[in-house]
Amino acid sequence: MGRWLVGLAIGLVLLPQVGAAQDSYYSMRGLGHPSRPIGARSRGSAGAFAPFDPGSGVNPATAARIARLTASASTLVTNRTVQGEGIDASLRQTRFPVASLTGPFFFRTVYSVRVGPYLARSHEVSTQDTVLARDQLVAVRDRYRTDGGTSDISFLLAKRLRPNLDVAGSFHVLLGSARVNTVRTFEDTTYQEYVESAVESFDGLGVSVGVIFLPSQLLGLAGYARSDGNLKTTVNGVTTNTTDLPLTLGGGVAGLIANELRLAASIEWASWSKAQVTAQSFDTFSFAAGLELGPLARSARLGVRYATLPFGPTKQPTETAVAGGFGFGFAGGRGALDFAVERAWRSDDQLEEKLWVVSAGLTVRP
Amino acid sequence: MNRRHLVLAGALGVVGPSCTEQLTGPGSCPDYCPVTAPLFADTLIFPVTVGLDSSYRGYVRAEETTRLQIVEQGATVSSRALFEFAPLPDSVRLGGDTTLRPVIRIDSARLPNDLALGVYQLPPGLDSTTTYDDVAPSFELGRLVTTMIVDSIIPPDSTTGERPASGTLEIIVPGSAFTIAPEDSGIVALGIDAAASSGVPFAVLGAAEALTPAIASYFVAVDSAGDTTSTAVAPALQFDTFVFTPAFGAPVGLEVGGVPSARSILRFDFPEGVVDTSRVSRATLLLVPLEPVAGVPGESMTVVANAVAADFGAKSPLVPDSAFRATVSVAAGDVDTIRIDLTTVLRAWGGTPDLPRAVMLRATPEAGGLTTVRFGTTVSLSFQPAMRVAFFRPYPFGER
Repeated sequence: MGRWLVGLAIGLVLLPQVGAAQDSYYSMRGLGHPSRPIGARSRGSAGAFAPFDPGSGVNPATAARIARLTASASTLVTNRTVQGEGIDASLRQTRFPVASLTGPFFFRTVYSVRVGPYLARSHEVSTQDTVLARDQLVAVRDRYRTDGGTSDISFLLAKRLRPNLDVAGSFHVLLGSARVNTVRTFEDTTYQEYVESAVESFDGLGVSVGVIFLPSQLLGLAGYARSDGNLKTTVNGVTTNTTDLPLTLGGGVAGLIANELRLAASIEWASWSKAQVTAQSFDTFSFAAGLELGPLARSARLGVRYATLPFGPTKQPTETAVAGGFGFGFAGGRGALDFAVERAWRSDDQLEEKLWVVSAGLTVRP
Repeated sequence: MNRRHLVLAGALGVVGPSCTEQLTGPGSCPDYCPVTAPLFADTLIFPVTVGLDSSYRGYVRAEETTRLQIVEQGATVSSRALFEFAPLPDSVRLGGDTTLRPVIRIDSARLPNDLALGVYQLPPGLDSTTTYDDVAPSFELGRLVTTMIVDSIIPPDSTTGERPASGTLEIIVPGSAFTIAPEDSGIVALGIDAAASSGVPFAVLGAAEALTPAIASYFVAVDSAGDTTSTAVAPALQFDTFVFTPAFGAPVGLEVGGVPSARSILRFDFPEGVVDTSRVSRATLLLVPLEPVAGVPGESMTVVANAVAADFGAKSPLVPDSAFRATVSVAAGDVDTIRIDLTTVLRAWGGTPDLPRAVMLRATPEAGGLTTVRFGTTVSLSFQPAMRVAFFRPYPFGER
């Protein structure tokens, strides 16, 4: 077991060497790519178990069943290829999808502080064009880079109202920044290079509630709702943009079908069409189904997912994914390691993105 | 390694790789591009308020410049260099001797310089008021000290075989060629003109201001306790200048150059955003000559556009920082529009909001020659100066 762990730890450190980008071309003219606050365990089932997974951040009620101090974190490495519209790119990116600290609180409640991504705004594009200067066309090359995004910091209280009913409420603070850099160089070097950069800061607030109901020992139902207010963008202390953020509704069902075989399905809707952006914005819908096989201390997962994406130039992009993963516990149940690999395809009528997503998560109960 | 260490290693493994990224891809505009491309603009800006550009003469006079121009351009233009040396002493010290020994006679004199041609002895008393006409009668054969044939004195380069365009000219003339009159306190004044069998004779001599003064060394015979011995004496150069005809009058248009030197000031009132809040990519000052650049054929002059530190008209101090000035070379006979690249100046102005947006046009070195250029002013419609500016407006960061 010890050799296993050492090998895994080294493998995790080396993950960025083979990983890639989670962001999306479709969101370039939008607010950013909405990030799924899903831990490695749920990602192995394509998010089907997320409404029941304390290591994920979609449903605050998942914290109610944590009886002792628990810390968890996961990392996400994405390798993305983009083709279409004259674009042929291979990109990669590493992110920290979600981290949480959860533990008992007063009056048999459970608190949890979670940090996860909300909107990813990291991309760099390079374009070539000509501009008219002094009655002549001058060739130019533009580079635009934005690096950063908005994080979701949530503070939640969860309580088991009854043995089969968990409820929770959460307060969300949205904070983040992106360093933006724009450069234009001229083929005619008598024109000086143009470089301008700024830090865009984002902030907003939100609330969410969640519930998990277990009608029987074989069946679980989960539901959650989240309302985010406005996302304010400021540059050098000046508010440059305020955008409505969506209302999100989601739910899931999980069942123990056979000995050590669990099935789950989840569904989510978000009103992203409220967002006022240059690109087209659409309400989103996602559906995931997956299974988990084996005892919790050593299990394997599979799942599929279909989702629509919130931003696109004309037609709403869609995403289809298949995922697999495994996890195991160690130290007498005081720790767990989870791994997931996801293959996803995104497309609209012009562009196609293909992703390999590798995720690893660690849960520790000291 | 116990299990606690392994758990810690696992935790580091998760946290360690979480902050790296690499992503660069081509864009496809407008659908898969940033919201806004850099806001590039290219515009023509004219100097502020018609009639407020000005030209002034009198900054550097001929006796203050670093170069003394000699030219004989037919009957139209003529200029000559003048030197006056300190009095030749009537007694000197020999070696480490403490006794002054009387000078008996002048054996010879050595006259080195960058270049020289006909050397005439002039009446002493040269000063800044001396004009071409004042000394013209002295340039006659009777006062000719020597004629220096430049080609025979400056040898070709031993490696390239080419004759250098500049060098030190040195010639020894007999003492009898000089008249050192006691009534003149032993002062020697010389004038140099040019002559050539073909073309326009033209030479430039170094001036004391350029630390390349003319030097006259006299080889004198000294009475040393009854014996006669020789020694060299080199009185200091007291004054040098060059005189010319015709004289320059009041500036015409926006005039630059000439003697005394002329400068012109141009004031700009840039539209908001051009200098103060944006990035200038290229800026070119366009100056249209009213007439061909005047001067000796083949001679060029450097015109400097220098930002002013404060706008006091003719007495505006110039910003000494090299970022605030730009230069262009103009040649005699040029008639085309003169373009001065002011990109660095406008960029420097972006960081100095208190500086006036004005440039002074001047020649360098000032008063170093007879070349002069007259540009159109804001009132001369067909020759109006202008500035072509390519710039970027502030990028709308944070807009969606």
